[in-house]
Amino acid sequence: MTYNKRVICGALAMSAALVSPSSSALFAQGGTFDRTIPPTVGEAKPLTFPAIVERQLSNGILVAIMEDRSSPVVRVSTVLEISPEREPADQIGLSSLVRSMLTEGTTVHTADELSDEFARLGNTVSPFGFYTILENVDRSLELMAEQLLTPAFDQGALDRIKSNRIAEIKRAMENPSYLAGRVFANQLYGATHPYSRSETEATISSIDRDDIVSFFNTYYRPPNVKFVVGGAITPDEVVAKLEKFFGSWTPGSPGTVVPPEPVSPDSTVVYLYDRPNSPQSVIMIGSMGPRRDDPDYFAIDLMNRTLGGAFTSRLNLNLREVHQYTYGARTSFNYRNVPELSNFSASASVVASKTDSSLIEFMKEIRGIHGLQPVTEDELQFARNQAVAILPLQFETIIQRANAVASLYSRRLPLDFYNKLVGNYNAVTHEQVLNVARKWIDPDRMVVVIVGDRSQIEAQLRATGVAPVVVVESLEEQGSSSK
Amino acid sequence: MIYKKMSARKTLFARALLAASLAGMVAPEAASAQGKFNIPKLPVERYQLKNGLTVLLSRDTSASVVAVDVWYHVGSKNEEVGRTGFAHLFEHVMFQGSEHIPYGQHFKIIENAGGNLNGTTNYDKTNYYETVPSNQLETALWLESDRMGFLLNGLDQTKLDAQRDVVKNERRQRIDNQPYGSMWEIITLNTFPEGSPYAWPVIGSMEDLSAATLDDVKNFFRKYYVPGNATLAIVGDFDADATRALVEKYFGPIAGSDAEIERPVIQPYTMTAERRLVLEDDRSQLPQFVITWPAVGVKHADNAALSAFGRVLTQDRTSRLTKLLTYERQLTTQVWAGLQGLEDAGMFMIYAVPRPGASLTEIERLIDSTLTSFDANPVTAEEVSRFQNYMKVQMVLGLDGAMNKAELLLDGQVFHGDPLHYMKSIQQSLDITPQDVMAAAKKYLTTGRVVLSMVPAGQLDQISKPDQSYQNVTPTPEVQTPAPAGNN
Repeated sequence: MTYNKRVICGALAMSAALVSPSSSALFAQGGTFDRTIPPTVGEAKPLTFPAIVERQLSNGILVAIMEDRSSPVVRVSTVLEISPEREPADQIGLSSLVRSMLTEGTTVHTADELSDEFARLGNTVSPFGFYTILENVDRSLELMAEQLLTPAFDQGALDRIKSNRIAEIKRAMENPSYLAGRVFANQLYGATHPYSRSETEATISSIDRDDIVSFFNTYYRPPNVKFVVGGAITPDEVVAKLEKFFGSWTPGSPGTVVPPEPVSPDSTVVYLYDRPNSPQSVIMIGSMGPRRDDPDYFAIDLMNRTLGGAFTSRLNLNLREVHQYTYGARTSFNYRNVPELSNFSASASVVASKTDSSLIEFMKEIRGIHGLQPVTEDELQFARNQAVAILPLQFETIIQRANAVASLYSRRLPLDFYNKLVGNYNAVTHEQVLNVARKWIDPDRMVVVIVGDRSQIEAQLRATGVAPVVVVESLEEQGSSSK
Repeated sequence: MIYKKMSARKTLFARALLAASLAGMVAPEAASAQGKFNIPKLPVERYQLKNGLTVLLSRDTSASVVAVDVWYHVGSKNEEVGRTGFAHLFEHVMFQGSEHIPYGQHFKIIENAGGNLNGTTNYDKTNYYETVPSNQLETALWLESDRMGFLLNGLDQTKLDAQRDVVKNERRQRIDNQPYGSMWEIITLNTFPEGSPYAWPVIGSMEDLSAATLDDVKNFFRKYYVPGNATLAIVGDFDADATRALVEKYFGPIAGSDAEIERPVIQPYTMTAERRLVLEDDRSQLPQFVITWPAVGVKHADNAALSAFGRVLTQDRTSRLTKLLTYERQLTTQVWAGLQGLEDAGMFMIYAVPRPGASLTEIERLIDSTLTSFDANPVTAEEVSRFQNYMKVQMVLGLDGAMNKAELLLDGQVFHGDPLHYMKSIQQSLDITPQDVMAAAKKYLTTGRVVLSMVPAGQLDQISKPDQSYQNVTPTPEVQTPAPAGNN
């Protein structure tokens, strides 16, 4: 090494600064106990989720309130029940442009003036919520209401946001996972299904200020708006404050629309999308899944933990630890709001030269959980322990708890969901887990997407014989399995 | 990291932004952005075992969880030339079992107990951590003590080889398969002087990863993974007396070492001339642009003032550089400026994400004219109080989890010898004057710097100031040997 070195004495370097030395080490090397035996631990403390109270403003707006005095802070979330599918098919991106435009100034303050207001407070305030100390709550609510109720929709801001959005679309195309997601949606839902729609330069360019104003006036109203408030504040205080700012908001048209339910394909097909000079291939395999409020939700969650929902899951241990094809592999059920269907997906970035071998192992694990190697009693117990024991971590902080409540509103789940969580996990039977694996993980009806260097991987993929290989040339295209 | 957290999808610069925002803690009395402000003080008990292990205990019963976090004061800067990436590879090996914990059990035990776990390696330190339900504290101490005291008897060539390949895939996923993925390592290589241990990337090179041997692992462990080079923090819901006894039981018997630890001394460094670089990527569609100056580390007196200058440039939409580039001239979708401080040195960076068609030459010219304009229009008191207001409130809001608090205390202890160093650090930022900020900017943002244009392959006409001489630093792609078709 060419740089200088300084020398310190390992054990003593910091001792001068230290206080209250511990008792001396009396044990021999390793101590007098058997380190191979895991410690016996006591029972976990029972999990208590703070009570959630639901109230209504005079105009019908629902508010879920979690009073939680563990620290003097408040989290406010705006839950909007406005489906992106309300956008006209040639104006994909309209709803997200409306969201962006709500932060671009109001009839009272320009965006720069708002920015000054936030700096005075020490916290930013989005139209969709904020997190702040108690004494900033009133002013933050006022600024939130101002943005939600009186946006300016400045033309210059719209032009800038549209141009930035077009740039972001171009940049996303550089990302292999984004490309895989696009091809996956096209093949699973059909290229023209609302779930496959993507913003393009053309759809963004076609949106003008009138479209923004009209979408906002139609949908940004009760009953498409709900609020969630968590923190050191009483329900009565919350209702009084919200009533003051939002009580006069008049109702609009229903914001949600449920697109037709896609169905999983009749047979498994491999769709290959070329990304030259990729040292890894992104693999994404999946099918349609259940609604978020499916009675089998808890059984599905435990099954998924065994398959690919944890570090020690079958899929990750196989692809990463046993074969070293990847840094990590996972599976998940990706839920939408009730009553829409979810999808199941299994994915990893794998070393290009082992794309074929990785695909074979993916399909082996999928076939395994489906029935060739069903979830064992031990695996189920492990998954259940994990799911229940980790709850104190998931609800550790006030912001985690407040966000958890907000997700109940946005997913449209009952507000007592968390109180029943432990009981619901414990009620899952082995038989139920075997059934949901057979039902929802069907190896013969999977969309398989691979984004990688075609010149390096195509021949190998075809030779696996896992399924027919179709080369997808464009992101607008739904490939046909007849190729 | 030993594995990628499933929710974590942060870009390099998202991480940089995160690191730049100050963590804080919950105060019993609320803070005020504008009134008088008392920096909240975390309770902490610090002591040292006979073998040299430093212990930090901080009790917080607001949730039934406890964080166990062990920092080893060793990172990629301690690596030998030819063994880059080794500290991080070693981190992976630490998860492969130890003398009393069989391979694969560490993850299984923590997951079964309802815990989260991971490890991180950076230039200066490596840490291993788990947050567990509070009844599982002893389980975490058992696991952490076994790999601190008894790693080598559980080690073999197979485990090393397996993790070597996992790490190579981590490199491919984070760097080689990402657009302009090698940006960061190009910047450090060219900003720090030749031979500086901050020049090479934490993840290392493929060649050096291939070269690492079992003997390297053993030597590294014996040298750096001694109790005297480690600090253990326990934060959360625990009984202090019982916990002190458990720490003694599990960590007390581990042998200490009197061997000397050699640490690199990284001297203050400035560049004398500008270095212009170009990175091409055939998977990219749009250019990116970054300027980097050598600067100070987190221990340096100028750290706070130079960090503040980054906020003045790009904190929000009214900050000078953001206002000019993103809002007035609309040449960028995003611009970020700030100090990336390591333990002994740092880099001040300005990173611009251009709009399609925007000229990098024009962006560079406007960055430079903005920097020059401070001579006539110096940093104002309003600009400084702006970031200080945010700092106060975000500090109270920001640190509310046991692991966050453990990290803050450890950072203070390991790099500054004081677990409550954050209080001094924040006070320093709150005491800063506009003159301090100006002086720091003048001192470090000089002509010696690295200017990196990143463009889609072949589009060299898009680089900034293409008429000036530059070095093309585009890396050669990895050559993989494909398996014969159908042979798996």
